[in-house]
Amino acid sequence: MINLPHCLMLSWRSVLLLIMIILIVKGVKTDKLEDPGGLNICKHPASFGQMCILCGESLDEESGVTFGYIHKGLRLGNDEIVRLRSKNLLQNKKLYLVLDLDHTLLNSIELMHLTTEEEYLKGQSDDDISNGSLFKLDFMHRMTKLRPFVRTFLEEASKMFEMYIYTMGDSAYALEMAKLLDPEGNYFSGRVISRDDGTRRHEKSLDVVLGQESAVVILDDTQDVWKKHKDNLIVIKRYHFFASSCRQFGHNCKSDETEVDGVLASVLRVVRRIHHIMFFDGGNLDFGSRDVRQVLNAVRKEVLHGCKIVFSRVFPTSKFQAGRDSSPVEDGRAIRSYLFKRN
Amino acid sequence: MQLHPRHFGRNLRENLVSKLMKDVEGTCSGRHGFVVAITGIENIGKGLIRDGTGFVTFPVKYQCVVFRPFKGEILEAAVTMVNKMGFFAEAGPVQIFVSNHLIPDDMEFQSGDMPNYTTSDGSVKIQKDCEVRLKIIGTGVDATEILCIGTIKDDFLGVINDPTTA
Repeated sequence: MINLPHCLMLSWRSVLLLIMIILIVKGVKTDKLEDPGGLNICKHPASFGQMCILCGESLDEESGVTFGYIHKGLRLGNDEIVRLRSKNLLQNKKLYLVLDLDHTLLNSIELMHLTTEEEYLKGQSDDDISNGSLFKLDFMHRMTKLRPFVRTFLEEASKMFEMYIYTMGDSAYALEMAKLLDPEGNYFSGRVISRDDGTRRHEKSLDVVLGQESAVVILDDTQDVWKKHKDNLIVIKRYHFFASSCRQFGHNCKSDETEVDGVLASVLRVVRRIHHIMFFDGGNLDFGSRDVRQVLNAVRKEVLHGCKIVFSRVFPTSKFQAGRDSSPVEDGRAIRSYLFKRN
Repeated sequence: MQLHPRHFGRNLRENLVSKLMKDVEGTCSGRHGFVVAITGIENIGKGLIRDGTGFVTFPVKYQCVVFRPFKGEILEAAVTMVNKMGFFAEAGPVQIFVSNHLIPDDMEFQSGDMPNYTTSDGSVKIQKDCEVRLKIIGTGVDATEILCIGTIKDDFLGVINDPTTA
C-alpha cells in the first residue's frame, strides 16, 4: 500500500510528461496546419527602401516595377499595381492624359545651337514663370519655348484628365520643364516620368502609369516610341520654334503657331469630345466597360464623315463616270478592277 | 579622421575638429542612426602616418546626438506628399511612408488640387503639411538617409493638428 502511492506518483509524472509532449506535438501540428491559411503571412505588396510597406520586413526581391518618380525608393509589386489601377478615377469623371514634352508641349534647344539671327532671343526671355513662354535656363544651358495655347490647354484638360508628363529626357530636365508648365504643382505633381523611370530603353510604356490602359489617352509627336500602345495615342504635329530644331527635321519654319487656330487648340477639342463620349454619351454602357481606345477609333472615323473624296487626275474619267446613279461601292469596285487589270 | 599635412601646425586640433564636424554631421549609419550634432570631443589619439601619401590618420573619440527611429516607436511627423498609395511624411531627416493598407478603412482618398485622405463625415483630413502621429513598423538605412514604414491604424494615432482648421 505504501509503495503504491510512490508508484502512482511516478506514473503521474510520466503521464503528465506524456500529456505535455502530446500537447506540444499537437500545438506544432496545428501551427503547421494554420500557416497555409495565410493568416499571418504578408504578401509584401510593395516596398519602400527595400522594406515591405505592410509588415516592415526587409526584402531584397526584384519583382515588380520601380516607381522612383513618385518618391525615391518606392517599388510596387504587380498585384498592387493592378489593385491601384482599378481604384479608378472614373467615379469623378476623369480619364488619364499622358503628355510628351519635346515638340509636343514645348521646344527646347541648347544655347550653343542658337543661330546668330536668334541670339536676340536671349535678351527676350521671360522672367515670370506663370505667364511667360520663352525661358532661358542658364544652369542647363538651354532655352525653352512653350507651345502657344499650352497654359489654357493644361488648365482645361486638367478638369477632365489626370495628367502625366512622359519624356525621353532625364529627370532633372523633366522636373524643370514641369516647373515651367505647372509652377503651382497642380497638374503634374508626383506624375513626371522621365527616361530614368522607363522600364525599357528608347521605348515608352504605360507600365509606369497608375491608370488602366482603357482610360489613358497619350499625346505625343512620335509614334515609334509607343510600340505597345498605339491605340491610345493621338499623334500631334511637331512643334518647332528654334531654327535648328526645325532643320533637324528637314523643315524651314518662319513663324510661330497662332494661339486660337493652333494645334493645341484643335487637340483640346478632340480630347474634350473623347471625354464627352466616355462619360455623357451612349447611356447603356456602364463606365467600367468603356474603353477609351474604342472611343478614339470612333472619333477618328468621324473625321471624314460626310466628306466626298475626289481623286482628281488620278483615274482617267474616260474609263469611269461617277454619275449620280452609281454608288460609291460600285465606283470603288470599278476602280479596283481597273487597277488590277493594269497590273 | 584623415588629415592632409597642410593642416598641421598650431591649429591642428581645430582643423581636425572642424573636419570631423563637416564629414560626420548629417551622415547616417545603420547602427547608430543619423548624426545630428557633435557635442564634444572626448579624446584624440596619436596620429599614424600612412605609407606613401603623407596623410595622417587620427583616431577620434567624440560624443554626439544621434537620431534613430526604432520599430514600434511612436513619432510625430509632418506630411509631405499624399497620393492614392498612401502618404509620405518626414520627421527630421527620416522619411516615412504610410501605405493606404495601414490607414484606417473609413478614410478615403480624395484626388484634386490638394489630394487628401478624409473620413466619411469629413471630420478628419490628412493632407500636405498636417501633423500626424504614427507608429514605425520597419526601418531601413540608405546611403545618406533613413527610410521607414509607418502605420496609423492603431489607437491614438492619426492627425494631431490640421493647419486648415487651426
